[in-house]
Amino acid sequence: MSYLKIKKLIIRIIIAFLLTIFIIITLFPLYWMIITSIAPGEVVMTYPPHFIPTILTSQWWSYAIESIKVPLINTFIIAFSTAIISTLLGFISGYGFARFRSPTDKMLFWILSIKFMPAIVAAIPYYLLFSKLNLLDTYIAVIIPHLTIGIPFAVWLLRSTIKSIPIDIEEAALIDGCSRLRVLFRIIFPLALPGILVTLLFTFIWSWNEFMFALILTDVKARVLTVTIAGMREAHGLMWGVVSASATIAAIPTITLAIFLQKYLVTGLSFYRTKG
Amino acid sequence: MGLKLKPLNKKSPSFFYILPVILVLVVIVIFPLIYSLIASFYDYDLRKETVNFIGLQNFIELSHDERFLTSLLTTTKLIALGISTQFLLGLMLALILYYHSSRLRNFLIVILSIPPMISPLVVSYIGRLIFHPGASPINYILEVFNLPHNISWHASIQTSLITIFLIDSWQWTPFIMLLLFSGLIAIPEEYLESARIDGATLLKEVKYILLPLLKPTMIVAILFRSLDVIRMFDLVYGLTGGGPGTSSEVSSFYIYLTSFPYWRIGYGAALSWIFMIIVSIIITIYLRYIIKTF
Repeated sequence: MSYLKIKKLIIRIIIAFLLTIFIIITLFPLYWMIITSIAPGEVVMTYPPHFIPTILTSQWWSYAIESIKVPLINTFIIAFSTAIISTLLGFISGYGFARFRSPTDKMLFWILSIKFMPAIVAAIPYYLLFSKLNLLDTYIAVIIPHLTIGIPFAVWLLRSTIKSIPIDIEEAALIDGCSRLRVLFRIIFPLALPGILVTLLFTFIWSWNEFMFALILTDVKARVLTVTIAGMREAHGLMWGVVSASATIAAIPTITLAIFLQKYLVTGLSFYRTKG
Repeated sequence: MGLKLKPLNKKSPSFFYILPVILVLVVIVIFPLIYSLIASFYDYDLRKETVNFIGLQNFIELSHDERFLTSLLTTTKLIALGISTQFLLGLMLALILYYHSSRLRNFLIVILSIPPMISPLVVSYIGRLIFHPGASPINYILEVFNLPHNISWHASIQTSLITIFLIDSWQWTPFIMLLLFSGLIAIPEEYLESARIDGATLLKEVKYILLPLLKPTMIVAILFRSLDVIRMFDLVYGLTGGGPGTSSEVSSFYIYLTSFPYWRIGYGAALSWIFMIIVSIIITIYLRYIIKTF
């Protein structure tokens, strides 16, 4: 073996080693959460820690499922509505922004800059307004603030998606006498489907994970998962097993979506790469 | 509607498509912001149920509110420490992945896409597990390697901010890495090929071709990540509650405390407006700077 080959081999080994360490660091906390959710009380949070559980229990999981049933449904309804409304509005206006040059270009930047607003700034007036309108602790009280993040994201991503669709297809259809709206939903929609899926996915995950608005604007009826998990700390004197099981349940849908829609993830990231 | 057969790419009925979004955003963003601005001129205390107009009093108070100023400093520290570390680490990993095409790479990309997908609140809870002062597996590992291991992590004034930084980096370094990696693979092969024909070394290739072309992605990565840290709330709420003392109290969290558990909504509104203005000024300067350097 030549000197160069040995050098290359060594570099490869070092890199593989570094990457393996990185994988371990990334996965260990998740492993630890899952372990804590299935280990019996005596071995949880002890020192020295038990890295591999020998006895397993399902009691934390059954307890967790019982206590987060309603929040789980609430979170799903809120995240789903946020995703649908954001994507629909984003699609229609994304088309407008992609296909027409007009004074509205400034609007586009304004829409994007909403994403830069610290959430607490909006949370305060929302609390006051919703308490006046008797809307606190309803789905609407959470969906509306979530739209302030979802819509700018959707507009931006779908604008660039539609922009990348060749304009000739549309022109041909228009000349054939198709109306603009028909073109939008019959021709553009299927072509923009990957972008639409990514938008749905990202807005859903974002809303699913959101905490601050939900904490401030809900109480019991519309309580979501993140708020429930945060509240468990006080209510159960931090029962590590139950909280771990609930946290795992909260993380499963988003992680699953991320893994299964791996190839769309890169498209989603292109949102950040498109210059502002 | 007069939409038919208008030539494309001319001033035409774009408002028809854009109007719905603009209307919605005006109602759900502009209107609440104005409402909040008005509230900031009042002594709006939900506990005492008083609403008195006090003019600029709130703004005068906040200018010498040391807790607010400290929280701004804490946020700044987290940005400086967090973003630089995450960025350098993320860039290094992205470059390694770029050159290291193996089966490990695809696996790694799947693994790395997991942390950014988890709710920061859930992550704060994982942090509690991992860094629990009495039963931390990290402390145990440190002990095995004979390193200092009696660290109280988030329960100590000295290390609470560092712990938040570590957890934040665990979650978001992968995000920066994936973002930069997606930027790298979008660079056309031809650029690299011509450099290789000219006999460029790997180091030169990275320095003179990849990094300059990656610049837009880097800028956006830093911008978005900084905005996330500025907004940071969930992690602090779940892990330290701003404590011990005020050692990890970031601005968003202080404003939340003032407005909700303490119910001084008028003052909270004033704080949040000033906070937003500071953030906007910094972003504007940053963006101006970028435009100039391009």
